[in-house]
Amino acid sequence: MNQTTRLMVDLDVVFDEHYTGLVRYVRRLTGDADVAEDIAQEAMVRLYDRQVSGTDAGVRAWLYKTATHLVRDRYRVNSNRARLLERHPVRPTAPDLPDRSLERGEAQTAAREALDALPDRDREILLMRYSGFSYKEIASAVGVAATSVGTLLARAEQRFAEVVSAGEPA
Amino acid sequence: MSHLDEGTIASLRDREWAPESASTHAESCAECGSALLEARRRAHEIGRALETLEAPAPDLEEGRARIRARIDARAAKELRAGARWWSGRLGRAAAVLLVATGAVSALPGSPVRGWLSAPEEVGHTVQEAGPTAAQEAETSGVAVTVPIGGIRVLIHSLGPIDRLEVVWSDQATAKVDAPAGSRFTYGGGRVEAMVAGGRVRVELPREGEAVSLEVDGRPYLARRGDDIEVTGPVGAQTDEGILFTTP
Repeated sequence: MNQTTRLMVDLDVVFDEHYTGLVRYVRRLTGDADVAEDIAQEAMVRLYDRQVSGTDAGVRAWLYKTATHLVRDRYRVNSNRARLLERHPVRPTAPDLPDRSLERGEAQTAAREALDALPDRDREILLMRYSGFSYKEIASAVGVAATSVGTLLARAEQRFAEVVSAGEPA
Repeated sequence: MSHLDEGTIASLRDREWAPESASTHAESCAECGSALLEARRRAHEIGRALETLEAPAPDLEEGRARIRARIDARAAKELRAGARWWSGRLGRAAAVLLVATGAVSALPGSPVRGWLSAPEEVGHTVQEAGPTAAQEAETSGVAVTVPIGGIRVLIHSLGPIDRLEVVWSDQATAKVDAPAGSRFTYGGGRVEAMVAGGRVRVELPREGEAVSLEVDGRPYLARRGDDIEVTGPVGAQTDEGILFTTP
């Protein structure tokens, strides 16, 4: 008999280990906290719904890849994305001392602008790399050859650094 | 050797695959060594810049509740769709059978005339339904290690279940096997199986953490320690397991 029995992952365990990181990743990707939570939740539901199983690293990569694709679907049209960013500006985080808060706000704006200046694919590559993914995992999620990731990442980093530097006070 | 390109330098920095010769070159070439240092510095700066985008941690309880609500909503929708599919199929099958029976009984000498007019049944020959070719060829299943606190196995039938058996196992694992097309989910100490009818086999540990089985919302059995409470419709029961009459 051709029988498939799989050891499934426990959604609660996956949630505890990956939900916060996934929300953070999508928030960086979109600049929108509400959208980030919505997409992270949808990725979790799909993980459960599609009976994804495997190692913890594999499940994590699957979640981020799914979330990346969900973001792409949501922001397929760039103008929609810009409009959403306008509607949901990045909110300040925790209260801070006035000077530090100002500095932090400027740095935050510069980082956001730098991310927004990147093409979607480069932004995904950069954020996945800085979330700790290997080139192979990034290649699978973004849909490029693993051998291209280093070059694409280096260019994305250069572009990001240029925009951040341009935004810094002289 | 010519100087390393930006992709190779990034690969070296990130300890990704790069040719051995690239590493050797970076050590001996001042320009490429400097580029590697610059790439490391840039990565550090980018990491710091991205940290400024940190937001307050999401509300975990709310996130968990929303995920559960979405899963429940989809399961309910799927069950409704399954019920509609089966009622449509069964309705059409019944109509075809009625028409065919009527047509055949109209023929002179048809044995169907005798069946229809038989005043009483002489005797029953019970034959257990064997697995269909499709079931024989393809079944799917799920196995989960029973967590501390026990596990609930919830079966939702999308089609008629022909046979439901529970087998006691010496493994601390709960398993559900059902025909292909069945769907399984696991979380929060419960395994849910939306089974596409046919033969269903559930394997539960005979000892250890508590286990229970429910079918279409009805409790069938629960074991806590050595105490087993069977509340489902039992067809046969041995030390090895229980065969339930079909729901």
